[in-house]
Amino acid sequence: MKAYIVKRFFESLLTVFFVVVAVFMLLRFMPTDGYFDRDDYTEMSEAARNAYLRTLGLTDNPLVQLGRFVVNLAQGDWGRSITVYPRTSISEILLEKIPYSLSFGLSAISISIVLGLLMGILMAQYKDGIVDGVGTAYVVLVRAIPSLIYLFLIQIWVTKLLGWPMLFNERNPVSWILPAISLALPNIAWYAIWLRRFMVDEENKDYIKFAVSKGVPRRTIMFKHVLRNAAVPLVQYLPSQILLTVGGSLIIESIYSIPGLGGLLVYAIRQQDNPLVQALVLIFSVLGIFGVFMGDVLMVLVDPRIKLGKAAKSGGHA
Amino acid sequence: MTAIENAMAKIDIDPALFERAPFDAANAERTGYERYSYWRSTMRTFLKSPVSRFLLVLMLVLTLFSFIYPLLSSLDPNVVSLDLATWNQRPGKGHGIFGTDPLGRDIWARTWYGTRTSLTLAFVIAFFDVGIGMIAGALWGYVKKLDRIMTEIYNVLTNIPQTVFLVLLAYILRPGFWTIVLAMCATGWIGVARFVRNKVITLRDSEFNVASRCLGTPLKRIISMNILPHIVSLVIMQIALTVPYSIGAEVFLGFIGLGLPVKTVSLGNLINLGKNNFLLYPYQLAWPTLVLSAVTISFYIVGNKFADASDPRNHV
Amino acid sequence: MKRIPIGLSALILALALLTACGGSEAKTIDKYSATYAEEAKVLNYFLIPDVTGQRVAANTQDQLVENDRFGRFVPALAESWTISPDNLVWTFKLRQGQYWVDHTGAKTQYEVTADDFVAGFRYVSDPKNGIRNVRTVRSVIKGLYDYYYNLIDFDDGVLENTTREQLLADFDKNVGVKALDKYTVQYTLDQITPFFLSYLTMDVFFPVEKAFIDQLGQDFGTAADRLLYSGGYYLSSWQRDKEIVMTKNEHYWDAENITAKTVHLQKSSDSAVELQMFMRGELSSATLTADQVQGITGTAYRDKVYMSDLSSVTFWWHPNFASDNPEFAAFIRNENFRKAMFYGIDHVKLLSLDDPVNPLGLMRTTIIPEENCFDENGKDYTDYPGVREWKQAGNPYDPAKARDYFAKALAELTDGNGNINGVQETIVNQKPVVEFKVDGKLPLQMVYVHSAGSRSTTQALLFQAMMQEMFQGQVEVVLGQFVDDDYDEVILPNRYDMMYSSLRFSYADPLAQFGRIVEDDGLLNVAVDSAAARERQGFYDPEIKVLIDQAAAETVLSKRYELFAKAENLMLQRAYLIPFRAGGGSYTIGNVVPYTMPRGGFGVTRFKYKGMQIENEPLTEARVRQLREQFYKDLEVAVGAKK
Repeated sequence: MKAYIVKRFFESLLTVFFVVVAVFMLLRFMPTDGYFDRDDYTEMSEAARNAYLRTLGLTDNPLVQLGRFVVNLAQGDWGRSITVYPRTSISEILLEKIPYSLSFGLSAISISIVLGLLMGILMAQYKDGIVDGVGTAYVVLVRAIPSLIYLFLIQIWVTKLLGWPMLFNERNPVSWILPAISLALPNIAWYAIWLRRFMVDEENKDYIKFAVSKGVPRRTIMFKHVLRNAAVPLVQYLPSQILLTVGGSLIIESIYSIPGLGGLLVYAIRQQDNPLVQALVLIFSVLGIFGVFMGDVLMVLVDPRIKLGKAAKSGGHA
Repeated sequence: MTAIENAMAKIDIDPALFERAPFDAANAERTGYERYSYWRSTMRTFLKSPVSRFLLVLMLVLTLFSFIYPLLSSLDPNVVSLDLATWNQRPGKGHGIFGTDPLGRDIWARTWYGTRTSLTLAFVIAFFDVGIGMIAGALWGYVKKLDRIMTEIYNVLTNIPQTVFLVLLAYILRPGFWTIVLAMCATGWIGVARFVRNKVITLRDSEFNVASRCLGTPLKRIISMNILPHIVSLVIMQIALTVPYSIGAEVFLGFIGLGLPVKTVSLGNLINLGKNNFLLYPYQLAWPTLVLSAVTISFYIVGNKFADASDPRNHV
Repeated sequence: MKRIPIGLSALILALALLTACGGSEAKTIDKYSATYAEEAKVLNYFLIPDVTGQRVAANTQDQLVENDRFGRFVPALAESWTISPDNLVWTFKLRQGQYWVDHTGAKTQYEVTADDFVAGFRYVSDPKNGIRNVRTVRSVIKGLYDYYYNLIDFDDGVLENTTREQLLADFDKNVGVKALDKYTVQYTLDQITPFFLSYLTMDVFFPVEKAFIDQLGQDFGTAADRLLYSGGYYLSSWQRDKEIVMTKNEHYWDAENITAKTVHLQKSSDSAVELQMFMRGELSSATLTADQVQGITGTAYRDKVYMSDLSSVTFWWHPNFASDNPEFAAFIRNENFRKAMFYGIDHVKLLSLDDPVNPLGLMRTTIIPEENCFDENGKDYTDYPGVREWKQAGNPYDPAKARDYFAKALAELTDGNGNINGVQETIVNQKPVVEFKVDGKLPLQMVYVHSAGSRSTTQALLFQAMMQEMFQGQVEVVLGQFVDDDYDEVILPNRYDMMYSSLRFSYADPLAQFGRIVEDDGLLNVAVDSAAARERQGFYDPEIKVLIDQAAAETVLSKRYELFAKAENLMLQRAYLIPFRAGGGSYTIGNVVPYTMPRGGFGVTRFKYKGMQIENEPLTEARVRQLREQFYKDLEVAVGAKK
């Protein structure tokens, strides 16, 4: 088991390395005026601009820059934002914003697991009945219609109906609810449809038929066998989902005015704030990769059927 | 053949009881394909549900109409009215079935032109996703050496959040039709490739292929009858599912200001414009949304139902 | 760091309170709530690039003088001032016993002294600190120009044989900003500047506590606890992209006039949301779009919507004389074509996008705004001959005239067969904004660049259709779009032919605008990077430059204005730019009583909330009209302004 984890860990490190290099090189193609304050740029002569770029080390060989960047990162120096929040240290911005995205993300995951699984169980239980129909309709709507539309309508109509504030306000607990639920909507559908399919498939398996013929009550079968088996893929998926909540949701944070990380990447890109873009892309990528790694490790720990030696060879992890 | 004879010898059966059956193409055909046609079965399973039938018709009608309408109609979706009275007209009042937008442009015409743009975008994306994905996936499945590299590419592409890709590419390349295509395909193909790769591996080693090979079925036939149907159904499904996905992405990119240029009439642009005026002129959002939803939902369900129907396990 | 527990506990709260029901906060009259669309990116008050930041700076920092509700300059941190007989030295006596407060509202050990004003100016004068607005006063304060450019030259490596420290030490010697004693600060000017007080409300004249800013360095102004406050409010909370809370500074010298004890600003970029929030009692005031006003017709809110006063900003259409689109470059140098554009833009239709009821109420047909510059007799600059005619003439739209001028332009610029003289087929590459082919034939292709927002897109499309119709298809507007910033993406890289924009009116003199529109050598340069324009052989008008120089040298305001008015008249006659609408003038609804707060077209004091009166209910439009009439009566008495 240790060997597997170590192996996967180094594989992930390798992926991280590729991503870092790719992102870093991609950003070398971005215009260099992203490193200037707008007015500095106008005022400076060409020579002065180059001199400034030199002091930033941007005229060096990209590989040297990459090395320096990694060393700085390791020392916890993320640099400072240039245009989005002029002169503010990036790590500070992140520390300020991540808690919001994380809180909402975690609430949404909790809500979606509880409601999604419940819905999935009900849908499987009453397969082809009304519950299943309504559930399926919900899943289809959420997955087929662009989320911007229904999230916007929910904000306008539900706040009006219930008399809730339209914008998120930290001191008013009620204003936490709607964004968290909205954030959970797609995932509820995801969990529900996934669990439903899993349970329906599983019911046709021999071990369940055997249990049924032994006279084990349906409820027991569901909870003792089917759901326990369902936990395995869930566990594999969860870590990366949790880690990526850090990134926040652009649409929801924007319409409810939540000061999270959601829109930051877009703003940073639009305002050509290269250091900030670099930091954010790296964080998201690394979290994504690390999440998959943790998922794989957890799955090995949870699922007794997976033989450790062989699991490493199966390679894939979707 | 000797393997069978050996086996029979081992279990002590008199070989005289058996006679050698020479390969007869006509016979092989009869037993294997006479009653079961993959396509017929798929279609029969698919069309069994009235919902599927209805949505398939809806999907076809919407698609056809959005492509035919611009050819037939003389209404220009871009013409700005200089007559203030024709701005923001509600549906049915003299001008336009769906009313007019803040510049007097006809929303009915804009909706269909927009649907056409968005569908074209989706089909182009689907074409590249599936095209590249199938070739890459086939290679991935057959060429063992590629496995390591492809898995690594897969890890990199799927581990980075999709939004990061979309936004980064849309920015570097600037908003536009082909930018969106590129941004979507940059990550989209790998999913198809992986699917194809898994299919290829399972098909290659699957029992019915082994059996076909044993029966001496020519490779051409194996490909066309045993492998291709599975892949073609995948293609159709993929195209159908790409439509709601790419329309959603276009709406999203429009929201963050990196979508198609505003002068392009597309569903994403219509939605984002309509959203600004929603509280006042709800119809400006409602009509395009309605058509958009009809399109995405019908494609989504048809795609899924077709995927189910194309799975031989679901065939009767 | 300190927010993590808040975030997590809030998560628990959110989960625990899923079923709890909401209670809105109690409404009190001494609390002002509003939304803002644009984030305050940074609160270093010397650096602020946006209105939200200026709003915060104006209320949390005080300056030597401020405007009262009639726009008069009245003492603030300065108690009194004197002007030397040669009018070049201005000496200010500070109020004593004023202390900086921190983000909790507690008095610090630092007193506000003359040194703080010098320290602030020293900070903005160092190019390393990148303070943009210092440009405005670079040739006003004695010795600043040389000091500033020596430092620039040194940083560029042009100036050698010295050290940066030595150059910085020159400040005390050469720059005309000095602390005579603890409570006396003195400014020495380069030339007689009667409107110097209006400069003092600009952000570059804020004081700063040197020990504090030195200690923080780059971190100055990046959080509420990284600022000290000298104004009527202190910043009690600033959450990026979320909210700004300002609380009354009880130690402020004029605390009794800080009527709203709390100012709560929330970020929301959606105007539909703003109106909804107002209707639900979450805000003290809101602005509405014309469409929204129509939308609430028939509700109780309709008669409470009023049009806010126009501001000193003038929006205009201006051409790019240095365009690299050869067709446009050929046309725009032709006076007849410029006039055709000038008379061909239908103000009524375009302004209807903002106010369909009274579109011309928003129009401004002069470059310099009315009611902002008054001469020694109280006469408004825009009533001087040359400008007055343009103001009185109203809407310049005249299709017959426009087509007439256009025909003349065509006769001069084309060979009669639709070929534009001297223009070859070429590709105009203004990527990523636009790229297109010009064929040297009519129709003339002209690039108009706008932002991606729906309001400006609408205007662009309307402008396009209008040009199409006006010139019978001979002028084709090619639309381009910028994503985020017109200056960085369009103006600086020279990717446009026509632009719709404005310049902030920084101080109370026409030179504030003319000095920027016409460069030192007569180069017409409304917005372009001047070096680039010069390189591309921009357009010069030395005659106007002479007038402006003469005016600038004149110290008697009436004579000065007379000359400026002549220059403006020429600019409009030759149609170098097309003034179009005044800033401000938006539909407003609110509980805030207008005309209770400081007023002024320049600097930041107009953003002050000092003296603000808030009522329980939205004011009716009739009541606001009444208040407006009364205000202008009072104003006339107070300022002695004559109409």
